[in-house]
Amino acid sequence: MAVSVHSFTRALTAPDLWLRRLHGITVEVTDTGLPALHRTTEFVDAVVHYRGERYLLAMPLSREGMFHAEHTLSALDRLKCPSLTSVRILRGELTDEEGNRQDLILQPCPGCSFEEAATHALKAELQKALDTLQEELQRAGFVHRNLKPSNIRWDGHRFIPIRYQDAVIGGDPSGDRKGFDLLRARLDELGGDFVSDFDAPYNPAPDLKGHLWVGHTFEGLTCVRDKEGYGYVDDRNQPVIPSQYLWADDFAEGRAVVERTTGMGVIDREGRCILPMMYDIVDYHPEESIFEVRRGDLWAEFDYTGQPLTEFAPRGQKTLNE
Amino acid sequence: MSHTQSITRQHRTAFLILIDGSGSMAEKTRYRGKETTKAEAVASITNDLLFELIERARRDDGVRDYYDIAVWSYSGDDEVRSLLPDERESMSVCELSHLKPEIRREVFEQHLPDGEIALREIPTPVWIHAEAQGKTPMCEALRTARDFLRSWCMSEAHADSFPPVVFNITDGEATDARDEELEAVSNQIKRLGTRDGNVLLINIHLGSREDSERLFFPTEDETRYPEHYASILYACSSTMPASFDEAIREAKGIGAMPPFRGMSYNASAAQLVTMLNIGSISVKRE
Repeated sequence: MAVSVHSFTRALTAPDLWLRRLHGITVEVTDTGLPALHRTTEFVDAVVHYRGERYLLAMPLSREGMFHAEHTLSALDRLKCPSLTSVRILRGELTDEEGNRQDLILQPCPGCSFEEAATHALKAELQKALDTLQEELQRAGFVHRNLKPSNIRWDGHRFIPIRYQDAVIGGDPSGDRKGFDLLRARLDELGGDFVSDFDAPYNPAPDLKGHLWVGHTFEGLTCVRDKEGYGYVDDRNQPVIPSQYLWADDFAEGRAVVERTTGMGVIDREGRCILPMMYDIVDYHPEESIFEVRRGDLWAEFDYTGQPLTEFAPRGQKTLNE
Repeated sequence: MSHTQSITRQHRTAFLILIDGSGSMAEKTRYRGKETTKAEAVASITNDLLFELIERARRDDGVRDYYDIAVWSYSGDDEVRSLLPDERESMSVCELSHLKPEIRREVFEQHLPDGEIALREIPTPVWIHAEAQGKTPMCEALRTARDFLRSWCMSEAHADSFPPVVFNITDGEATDARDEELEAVSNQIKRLGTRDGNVLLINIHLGSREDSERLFFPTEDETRYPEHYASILYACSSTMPASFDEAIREAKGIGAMPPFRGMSYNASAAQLVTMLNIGSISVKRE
């Protein structure tokens, strides 16, 4: 059953209650304290911060919207276009208060806005970056279909489109011409060649061939999905941790949360088990080097090396280990 | 097939929310897992619905003028009054979105898998406050709705629009009419419409039972729960048009067979709007 925008909003505000994996996100809010939502015809999204990075977290408003997005995002992985970000579908990520589950879409939202870009770079540089982007998208056969200032970011060196849910792959290559015309006109309007220092180096999904999906590179390891499952490769596309997991998060401070049919656990950069894959939930707090895990009805905390810090107990009733 | 017109700025529609504000709404019920009054539950359902309607009309350029919204309370002695600012009969969704609602820190209870109850304060916009006073002039409210909707549907600007949707949120105890009268005026509403189909009258029945049973878009054999008012509300509700059958079956389970009635028991109106896909599939790209 579809989940309401209202439930999505609540989940963004209290992610530990209603999201499955993204417990650590914080959402950007309006002056009312409510999440700042952005709508397209078939999706609603919000900007969230997760482990120091900015992302768009999107929810489809209809089954048809998700079906279309799945086709596009699946094909996106084969394009290897450096100006397109990776996008991840998180299955069953949101559970509303009636128990309905909903897939969400997570996409990096790097750099600054289109308008801010005009204060950080020379107009000629931005115009050239638009030309480059247009050529790249045409070469890749990617038609965004909704190019406008709010759907494009600037990382200090290149423009990066976001929100691909309406895009088509292999469509009319001139399909984005109007969108690019609009962006160029907007650049002219913004005027001014005031330039301040700005550098938000964007880490594009590497061009790694032979995978069903390729994520971004964190700490030298790139999460990939193959038919065997999720795993990690290095910058030469050599397997470091073989693809085998139902789900795998990016590495942070040398640890990554992974999931098998037996449950969730934690591995290190060599794929060694830090916490066995037997937990219902693993919440990793890299800033504190702590893992909070749930098994059945009980919670416990483990340190960075996998040593227990507390006994298993109902949440909120920590019993410190001797 | 009827009820297929996309909701656009050229083909606007209307949502009329009728709220039972009678004394019986001071009774306790369980809503969202916690004990509250029916009046508080109705206010929450209505505020959630208004939020959903506004957000579903929102696009990059702001909230688009896709529909009119009316919110009326019925209570006291045949009193039917608008709960919108200055008691305006209705507002466009754009106007409503420009109001600054009170932001209340609402406490949500969530039962965690470990049996613990987690409490979270979540900011929630509040346009409508709880009321519980006097009788239940539901029939008079439906008559007033009928007159408003007749005028709305007769407007040439709305001739090709998706027809208006009425949500009547109540515990079911009308005090100003016999069942036959209530059914008669409901039928008058259901016969109104545009070229795209008839007005949809959806009754949201709030029970007083302790359990958390929920029911939405029931078939005839699903309405045999032991609430005295269920059968009359079922009779007063619209038969859902075939264009919504697939979405309703998907939500209810593949075994569910139409026809379905526009009615729910302890289900939120926002959830019903979500099921009907108001604001996405029914809104074409403009």
